Amino acid sequence: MTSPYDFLRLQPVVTVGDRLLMRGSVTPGSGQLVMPSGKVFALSEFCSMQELQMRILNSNRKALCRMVESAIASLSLVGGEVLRVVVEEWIPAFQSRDFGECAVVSDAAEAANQLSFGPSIDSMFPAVPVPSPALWVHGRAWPLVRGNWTTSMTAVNVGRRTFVLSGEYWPVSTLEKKWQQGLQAAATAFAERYTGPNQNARPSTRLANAREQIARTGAFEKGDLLFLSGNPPRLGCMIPPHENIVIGHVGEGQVAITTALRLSASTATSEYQVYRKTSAGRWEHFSHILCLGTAGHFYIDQDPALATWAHLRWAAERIATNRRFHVNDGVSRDEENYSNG
Amino acid sequence: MLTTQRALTLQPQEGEVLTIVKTPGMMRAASVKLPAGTSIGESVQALLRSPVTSDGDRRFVENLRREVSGPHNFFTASAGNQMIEVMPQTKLAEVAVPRELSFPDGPRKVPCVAVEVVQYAAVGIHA
Repeated sequence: MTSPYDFLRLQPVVTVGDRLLMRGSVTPGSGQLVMPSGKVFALSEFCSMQELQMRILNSNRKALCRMVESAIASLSLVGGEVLRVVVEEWIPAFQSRDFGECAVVSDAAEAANQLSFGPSIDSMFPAVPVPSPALWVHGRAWPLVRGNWTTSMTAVNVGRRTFVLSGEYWPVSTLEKKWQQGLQAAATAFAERYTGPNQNARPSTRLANAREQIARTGAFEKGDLLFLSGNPPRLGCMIPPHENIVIGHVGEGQVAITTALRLSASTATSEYQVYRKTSAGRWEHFSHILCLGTAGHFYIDQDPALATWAHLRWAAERIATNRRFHVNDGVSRDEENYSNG
Repeated sequence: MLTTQRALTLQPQEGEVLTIVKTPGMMRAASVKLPAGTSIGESVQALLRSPVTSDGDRRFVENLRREVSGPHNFFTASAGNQMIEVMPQTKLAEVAVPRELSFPDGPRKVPCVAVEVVQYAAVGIHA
């Protein structure tokens, strides 16, 4: 998590109204910082407070997603809202990508878009407390009040107004701690939306079937899509039937490529793991290094879960066409065949 | 004529199959109705030649053209929504699955083929 008060690297900094001013002479005229010695420094506008909040959000969005994921992981998942979202929203939305524009499915796609984590995670981001007007220096925010400058005083002139130190101060560490506490509470509340069982809603037949399947096998399968319950839960995609150099014949729905459920679109193949279905119908991790070659063009700005599934399906299809998991798979056999003519 | 529009207006007639084509990275597929005797490879070529009428169609064609610019493979979705690899010469009629789709005059079961085009990338010298 990047400190929201990273802008203090520019100190001294002045916040006045909706503006953040810093020392500089690029665009002088915005204000002046008058030191006790009488020395005057020009202040220029760095950005608006709204821009500052956006910068902080942008630099922390990934960390924020991880924070919510961690909150989700620490809550009970099976039977919770994550499964409902997967079964009732994500799977129909993803499958509508394949089968056209059926109105029912389109509606589900719309609903899934509304449920996507990406945009809504921004709304849970609590505003960083930035007192204004204030002078930010020496790791503290010093509130400013209107007054007149006299010798041995620090003052800030903005336009025709003069501000002087009120005498109070807030350590930045205190402000940051308060913000982080608010952030943690918001992350937990956000996670609960996806994990807490909805007592009022009666589970649909689809959801009831999914829960029954998970209770029996620990997984829910729908077409080539797979959801593995666990901590964290995993999304997966079945590898199409093919003859694999490593494990021989891969039948329909027998081997899948999976990744941990992430709130941001994950296309990091280093996190991908292959799972195999046992004869008892349960899924188990099959340890093998993956090498998938260059990825195609992806629209990663789509819903994170759908983007992840799209990438998983690409990986599954790539494994089926490559007929191996890694570049070195079957090398010795190939060499043997070559040497045998 | 292809369409990437959400509202389905392509109603296949007798002997025609609604072919829905996309790459794994695409959010939305493009649909085209073609004679059932058309092969999968010909279907994709037909889509590439189709006149584009919107920005969405243009982006689709660009992405599809990029995907088929090198070695590539075709997969179709089975009735159970499992992806199965098919050869380019496979006829649409062989892999068509009846699916209920909503048309302006109401839902109707029509023969559909969902095709996914994946560019092949060798993972090593032995691939």
